[in-house]
Parts: sequence; structure tokens; C-alpha cells
Amino acid sequence: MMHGREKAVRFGTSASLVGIVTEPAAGTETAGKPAMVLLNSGILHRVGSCRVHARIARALSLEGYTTLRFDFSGIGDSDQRRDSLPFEESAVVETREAMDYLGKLKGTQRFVLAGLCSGADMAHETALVDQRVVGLLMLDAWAYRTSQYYLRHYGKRVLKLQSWMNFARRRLDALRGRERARPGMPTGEGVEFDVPKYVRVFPPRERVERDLRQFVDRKMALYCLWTGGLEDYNHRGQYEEAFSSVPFGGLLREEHIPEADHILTGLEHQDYVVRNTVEWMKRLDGAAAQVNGRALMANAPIPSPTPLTTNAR
Amino acid sequence: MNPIFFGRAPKSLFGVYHPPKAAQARATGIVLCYPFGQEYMRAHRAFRQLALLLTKAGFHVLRFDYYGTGDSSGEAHEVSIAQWVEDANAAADELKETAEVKRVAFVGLRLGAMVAALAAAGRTDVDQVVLWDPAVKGSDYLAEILVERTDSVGNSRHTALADGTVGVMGFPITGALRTELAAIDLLSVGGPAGSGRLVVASHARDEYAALGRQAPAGVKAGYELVPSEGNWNEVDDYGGALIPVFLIQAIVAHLSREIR
Repeated sequence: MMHGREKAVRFGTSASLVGIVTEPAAGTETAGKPAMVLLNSGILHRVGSCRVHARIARALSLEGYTTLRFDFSGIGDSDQRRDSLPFEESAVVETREAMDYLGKLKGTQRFVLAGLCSGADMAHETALVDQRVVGLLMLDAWAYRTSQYYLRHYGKRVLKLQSWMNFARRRLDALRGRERARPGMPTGEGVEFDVPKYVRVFPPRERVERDLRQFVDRKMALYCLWTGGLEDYNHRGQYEEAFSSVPFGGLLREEHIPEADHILTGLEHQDYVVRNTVEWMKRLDGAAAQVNGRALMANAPIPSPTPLTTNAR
Repeated sequence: MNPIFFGRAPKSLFGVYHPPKAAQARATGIVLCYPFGQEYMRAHRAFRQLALLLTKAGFHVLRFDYYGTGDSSGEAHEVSIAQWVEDANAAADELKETAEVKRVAFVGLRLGAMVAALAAAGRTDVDQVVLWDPAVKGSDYLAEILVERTDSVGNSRHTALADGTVGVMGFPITGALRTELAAIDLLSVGGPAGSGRLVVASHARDEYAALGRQAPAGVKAGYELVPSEGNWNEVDDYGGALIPVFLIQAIVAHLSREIR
């Protein structure tokens, strides 16, 4: 079956934002389904890391969903803004413009926001100020260390000679006033490395806890998935532990793929994300989910990642 | 700038058409051919910059995603060089129609240079072909990109699937694509009579110079080294992009000089 039609669109103030709308596939049931808006990760353009946003859009199309993947101003094909709004604010404004645009185009007023890393951050921030958001798909979202985190972290590392050697070298470097260069930073003449200008700082845990309470009160569904690429997260269940006072009920689906890297280069990890995003969306759509989201989500089985294949040369 | 889909479903392609921004528009349109995989992700910004500078020099420009890549239709495991050459030809025809120009030029980076050279070789309406850090021999290119990579925590960025497909930093290369690539050697590919061909290189490499020195019958060949740091064939955890400014300027200067 072929996914629905895709069209390139320009929207937002002075039509400066570029995106792709993927329509539901012909003959699919579309009634009552929320639309998904996919947000940039860092400066990767709207196709998503390893093209995973385009794949999610097309897979959802086959199940009757409309999606919009677009570029924030100054990223991908979208123009720079003329005002001086910082990214954290302009991204929220522009995500809301994306919802306005899809709302006018398709008549939908319920949206799921999806993103990886900075995309997850902006999805969270937008949900706070816009009641149309009924779900969040967040990959490598803000994470907070818990006692279980430290137990696992040091439990493993304490036995490793290499980590002691690294520790000793870092101390030595610090004593000598030497800072170790980070990979991927701009160097040299005649070349520019464009790196994300957004500096990712996790907000205080108390603030996020308040946010999550609001989300739960609104019966928003959350699908949070962490790769092995975020240092602050090391086991499934850590998010729920970090916010143990928030009565998630069945609204939170939390997963961890430790073998996956932050940009999802593993083909099996991309497949996993695409497949399970569709499955999760199907569970949260429809009137029943709106009224009784908890019961539906609580019954959702959480599959484990597909077996990993061996590495090749 | 105008984002469009062109070509026929189910093989519709995504492209961005940039109309000229100079007072005098030139009569030749320029088609930009992206590289493959993470190199495509990393080069997207540089291509946009290149397109904008070309429009300021009066050119019509179309950059586009091949079938199975970016926003174009198709799955990543369905791609082939033959398909991409067909796509580059479709893009050139689309640009001629949209911009009402009669002649075209191609600029291709890495694997995109191979596609550009192959597409141009089959046409009679080509003024210039710019091969930027070209994949000269498919077998060498494969050997280069199949070198094992690990991420910041030491996990491999390559995947092997049971059907022989290898995931290279997140993008699948099938056995069929490897076979097809291994048989391509730009040193044995000609060019349209009367056209120009420039190899522009960010690093001094023997194969770039060899291709630059070699002039197919009827083709005015050139070679320009614009030393630039950075390597297309790598990836970091931040999704950083590479924008070799001087090299981009050299391409624009060459095309502005050689094309009316």
C-alpha cells in the first residue's frame, strides 16, 4: 500500500517556514485522529536523523494520520526570522503556527508533537502553553539522575580499570590546567562547522515535575524513549522514578534502547522507533482514549527491542 | 525559493527551486546533486548556501533529493545509481521547464559527483559539470565508507542485515548497490562534447588530480584544489554540518566565469 500524498508547504509569518504535509493514505479511516507535528533535532533538517521523521510520517499515513514535518526558522530550508526571538521562544511560536496551519488545512484540533533531543525539549515546552497537544513522543528527553541511576552507573564503572584511568587522567589534566578538546568543534580557516546554537540545559527537576502534573491532569499521553547516547539516563523506569510523585497511571510509556546511539544510526533501532510510534499512536487516538486514556495506555504491552544483529565491516 | 515535488508518483521527487536574484538572469540552470547518507545530512546546509550564492550570480538552481532519500518518495533500500542518474536527468528537465532555460550545468558532491558525471555524459544540453570531492571509483568509495565507525560510547555505527544489506552510519547499502557501485569508474566516463568539467577538491588526493588531469574527448577539463578542513565521511552526536566557504565560493566563481 502506498502512503498518502505529500506536498511541500510554506506557512507561518510571511510564509517563511518550509514543511512537508503527508496526507492519510487513500481509503484509511481518519475520523477523530490527532495529527502529528515532527520537530527538528538540532540543526538536522526536517527529514529527521537518518530520515526517520519521513519514515514515521509515511508509516502513520498508512494508518490514516496526517503529519507535518517542518524546519524551524534558520534550519533546513526555512528562512531566518527577522526578529531577535531566542530559539527557545521562536521554536514554540513556530510549532504553534504549524498546528494552526494543519488545523486550517485539515480541521483537526488535536496534535501529537514529536522530536529527538532539542526537538523533544521544544515539544515539551509547546505542550505547556497549548491545550491542543494531546500527546508527546520524546526521544532522549531531559533526564534526571536517581539513586537507581547512580547504583547502576557506579556499580559498573567501579569494576573497570579504564574508568579509573580516565578519572585519573582528567584529574591530572585539571591540575595542569589543560582542557581536553571536544570532538566536532570548529577549527581552522576556510571551513565552517555549523553546530546547533541551542545550548541544552535541563530545567530544574521541580519545574519539570510541575509540567508533568499539568500533562497528566490534561490526560496527555507520553511516549519517552531513551537511546544509549544520553549520559544522564541509564535504565528503563528512571523517568518515572525521577518523578515518582506524578501519578502517570498508564499515560507514560517509557523505554530504553541502550545499544542505540543518539542519532539512531542502527537500522533496527530506526525500525523499532517507526513501528512503535505507529502502534502507540493507534492506542491513543479515538474518543475512548480521550475519555479514558489511562485504562487504554495501562494495558499497552511494551515490546522489547528486536534482537540486535552483529556489527559488520 | 520554492519547495516542490516533481516527477510522477510513485516516484515523485522533492526539490527546492531557487530563482535568480541578480538583475540579469543567466540562460543556464544549475542542478545540484547531493552526496549519500550522513554526508547528505551534513551537506544540506552547504548546498543551500551554494544555491543562494549561485542565484546572486544570476543562475536558476534546483537542488533535489534522489529517490529513496530525503523528502523524496521511496525507501532507502530501493535506491540504485541508475535510478539516481535518472532522477538527476528528471531534475535537469524540470529545471529547464520551470526556469525556461535551454542549457544546464551539474554540481555534484562525493557520490553526487558520480551521479552528475553519469547524467551529464548522456545529455547534449550541458555546459559545465563540477565534480566536488568526487567518488572517482565506486570500489574505492565503498572501501572508504565501509570502514568501521563507533559512536561516543563505543557502539558500532554500522549494521549488517541478514540479506547482505549493510547500514552505514544509519543508511542502508544493499548488496545490489554495492555491486553496481563497484563497477563504476569515472575515469572511463566521457562528457558532452563542448562542455567543461572541473574537479574541485578540498584535499589533495591522487584520484582527484588524476580525474582532473584527464580530459575526455571534446571536454575542457580542469582541476582546482581549495584546501579545506573537515571530512564528509564522518558523523558526530550533534549532527554538525560542514560548510567549506572558500570551496563553495570557488565553484560559484568558476561557473560565473565559464557560463554566460
